[in-house]
Amino acid sequence: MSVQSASLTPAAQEPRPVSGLAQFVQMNLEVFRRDRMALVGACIYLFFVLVALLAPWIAPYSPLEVIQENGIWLANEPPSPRFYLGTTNLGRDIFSQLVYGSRTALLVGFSAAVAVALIGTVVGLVAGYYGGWVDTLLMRLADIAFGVPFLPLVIVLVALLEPSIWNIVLAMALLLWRDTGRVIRSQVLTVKERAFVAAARISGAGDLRILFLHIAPSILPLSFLYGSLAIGWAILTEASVSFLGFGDPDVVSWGFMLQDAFVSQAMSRGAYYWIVPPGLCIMLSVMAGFFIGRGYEEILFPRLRRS
Amino acid sequence: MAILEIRDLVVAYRTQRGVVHAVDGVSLDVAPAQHLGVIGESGCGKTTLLRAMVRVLPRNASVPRGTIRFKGRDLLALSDREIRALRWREIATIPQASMDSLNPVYRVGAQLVEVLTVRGGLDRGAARRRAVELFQMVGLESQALDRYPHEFSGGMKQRAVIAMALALGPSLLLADEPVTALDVIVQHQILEVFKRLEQELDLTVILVTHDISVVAQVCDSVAVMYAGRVVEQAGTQPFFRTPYHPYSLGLQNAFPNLAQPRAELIAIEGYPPDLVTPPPGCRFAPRCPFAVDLCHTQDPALGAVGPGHQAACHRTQEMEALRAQAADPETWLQVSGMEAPLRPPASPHVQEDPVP
Amino acid sequence: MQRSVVVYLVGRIAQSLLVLWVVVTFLFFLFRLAPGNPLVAYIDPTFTEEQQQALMRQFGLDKPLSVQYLVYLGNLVQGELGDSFFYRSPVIELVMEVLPNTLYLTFTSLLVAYGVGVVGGILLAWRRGSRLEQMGVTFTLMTRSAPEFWVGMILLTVFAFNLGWFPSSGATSPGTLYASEWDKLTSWDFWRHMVLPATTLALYLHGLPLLLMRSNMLEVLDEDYITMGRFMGYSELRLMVRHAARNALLPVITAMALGVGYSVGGNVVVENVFGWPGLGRMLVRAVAASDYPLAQGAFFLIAVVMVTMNLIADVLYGVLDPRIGAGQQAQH
Repeated sequence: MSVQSASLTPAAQEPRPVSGLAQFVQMNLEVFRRDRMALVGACIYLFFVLVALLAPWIAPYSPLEVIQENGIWLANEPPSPRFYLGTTNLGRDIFSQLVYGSRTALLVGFSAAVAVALIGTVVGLVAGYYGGWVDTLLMRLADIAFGVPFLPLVIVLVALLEPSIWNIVLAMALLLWRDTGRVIRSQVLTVKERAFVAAARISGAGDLRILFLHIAPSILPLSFLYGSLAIGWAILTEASVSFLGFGDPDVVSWGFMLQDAFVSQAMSRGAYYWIVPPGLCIMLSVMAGFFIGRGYEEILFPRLRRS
Repeated sequence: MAILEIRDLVVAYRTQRGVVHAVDGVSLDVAPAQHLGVIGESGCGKTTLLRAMVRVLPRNASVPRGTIRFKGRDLLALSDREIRALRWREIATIPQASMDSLNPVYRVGAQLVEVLTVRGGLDRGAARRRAVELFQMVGLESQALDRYPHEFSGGMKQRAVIAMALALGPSLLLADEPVTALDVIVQHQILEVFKRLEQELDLTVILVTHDISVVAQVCDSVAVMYAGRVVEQAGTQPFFRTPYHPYSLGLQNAFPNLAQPRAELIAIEGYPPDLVTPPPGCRFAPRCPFAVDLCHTQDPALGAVGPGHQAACHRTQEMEALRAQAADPETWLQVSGMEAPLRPPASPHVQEDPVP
Repeated sequence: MQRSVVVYLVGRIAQSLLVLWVVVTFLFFLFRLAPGNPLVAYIDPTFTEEQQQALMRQFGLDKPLSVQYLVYLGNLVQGELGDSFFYRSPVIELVMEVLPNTLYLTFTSLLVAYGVGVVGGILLAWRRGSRLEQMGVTFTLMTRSAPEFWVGMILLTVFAFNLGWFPSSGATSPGTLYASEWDKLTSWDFWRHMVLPATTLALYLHGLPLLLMRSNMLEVLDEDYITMGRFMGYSELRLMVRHAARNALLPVITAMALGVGYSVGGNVVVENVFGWPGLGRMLVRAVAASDYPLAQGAFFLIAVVMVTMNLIADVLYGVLDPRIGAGQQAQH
């Protein structure tokens, strides 16, 4: 196997085995109890989830509403008690856009994470369990997926299909399963040799039953690890695509706001109140994904973080 | 005139469980050309004592008290630069685990040449010639200079490390368990090399080991450490003939001894105490078959028991009788006053870095 | 030794070609299956039906898909990427013209990022447990989480618009023409334009080598041969650089393969923020203008650059790690 394909998480290092649902739940709680950073990450997401749910009550205006007074657009207003973060050059309230942007970010982040983790897990399970040509084929595919430039592909896909956040999720699902799939495969290779799998086989369980009832639970934490990393990737990707102008024009997202600022000369006017907040929100939510991922890593690979 | 004088040295480790005094009030004199063996079980502070002498201590260690005078200079008062200048040129150290003390990515000869040029100030040609010489001294072929550490056997690596230690002609050599990881035959060969070089080069040596037979083979004097303290100090001969501390009796029982072969090995029950909360009185009392009430309350001081022979025990007067008892395995099975279950203490040496 | 190295190289190159083949095949069908007439941007509304048919023939679009695919592959092998609908000139010329700019930007930022990352990783490991380390790690995590275009926008606002130190867009000042690439590369003007985009990319890219170098260093610093070096009276600098860093560096080079891949993708965004005339900007413009041949060509070239650089990094790793070399020799 090529060196390039080596994941940053050493697959050779065997993660701590987990079996049984109770132990699995307990392990997930342990992640947040033991790792302060993971807890911080979870709190950040919780915060954004609350903001997204309560958006209509928090945001003083509708995000795309052009605010007028006496028939005059209130464009390029600086921050004030009325417009916390000022207004855009079209007289839209920046703070309200920021609040509604969290909805898009979370929607894209979580659905992409689920898609990536799901595909990666199934690929890893199937490749690792069945071996042979299935394994070879899937791992060659993963090699290829590693060689495809990610963002350009997303742009082309989104532009050719139609600009919607679901196509961004689709593009991510098409490529990013590779890391998850690879790591889970190597884990399945060790798990399937364990006694409880043999026991299940002797008791007459079919392949699918063994795969999803016996092996899958013990590799789920790995799926969670890669899923939580994918949240950040997805939010970043959506932002980049929107920034490049291929986003859904009817959906307000943080990337959309930055594109708006970019093309509206916010930079030359020094409108930091417009430029800084959306980027900070993206950064925070991506960091939160990293933090949670680190928490899982710490539980799964205790030796990794020894120093 | 001593080349090395240690007075009331204390070395402390900060650990998560509290402060550990791994070395707790040690005083030692080492004369030129003396070959001192420091013995004791692991966790008694031997390695810490050795590392304190060149101030290569783990990050969580500190020296709150004491002095170490080497050729009249207080090593603890030197600046970092001064102590570094002294290392290897004056005091060379053969570390524990010297198996892994060679850098795997450089050829052994290159590492020898590096120390000769960087620390010894030789030019590359002279360094190379000296490296060949040194390898011959320790019984290695000069071709081996061009090999990588992983191409060496354990014994060869040990010889190479000895050659490195001797490279700059140090006046004091510190050796930490120099043969522990080797098999018995190789151990013997290495110790022979050691013995020969000690004599030839007129070295002063402090050798730390848990293996009392090593001391018998290459040392002329002995210091016994227990729980961070020196509990007995003597010439090798008197030490083996008439030990004065029950711990020394126990150690002599527990090891096959080339000088005094014994039929039966008797282990000392239990482990050295946890130094976060050391026992009151004599620290050996919980494991000592001869402990009396006094031993559990009052800490015995190191006192003279003969010419050049000191021991820290309340019952040195009765030692002749106790030695006879100590030869009986039964004695060691009925240790009185053992309160808490004895378990191995956690090593204080490794400090975990704070989570970023 | 030579034989096994050749076998390894051939295998690795074959794998790279396979990746490229899959990419171009995917591209071909993606663009053909896209809704609407692929010539929509090319066709003037005043064209008659006949003229349109003629154009379709000219671009080979009247033939069956399978034939088109084979023709397409054949052309690709010959470096023939078709004509741009928009510029009406050969795609290959257009993309090759901007390719150097992308490479300059990528290599400059990678060089800076890996230089800073490796040195910073050593520094943070050396000062482990200190405030400096905590701040360094936090800063790096932030740069890895921040969207590159946003960092670029902030740099632009501060250093180009507010302070006026650097130009805000392009690779050369308007109206400047250079006699040769070399003239451009040695001009002050070009590098002044390079500063902000390269900094933006490097800010993002340095995180991986830095964090990796730091954790490798921390591991190596626990090794006995480092303690031995302390006993030997070596300076901290010598221990860090000659003894620890040398051992910690190898995995960083492996990671570089991944870093290269991401940086080519990241270029797309940064080039657009800074109006840097490179492949990424060309791709975005072509996609936006439905200039399919040009978009395909730009994408293809980006994939080629990425695959090639991954290949180089892989081979470099094999050269640098004595154990891999030894393994290959042992096989022989």
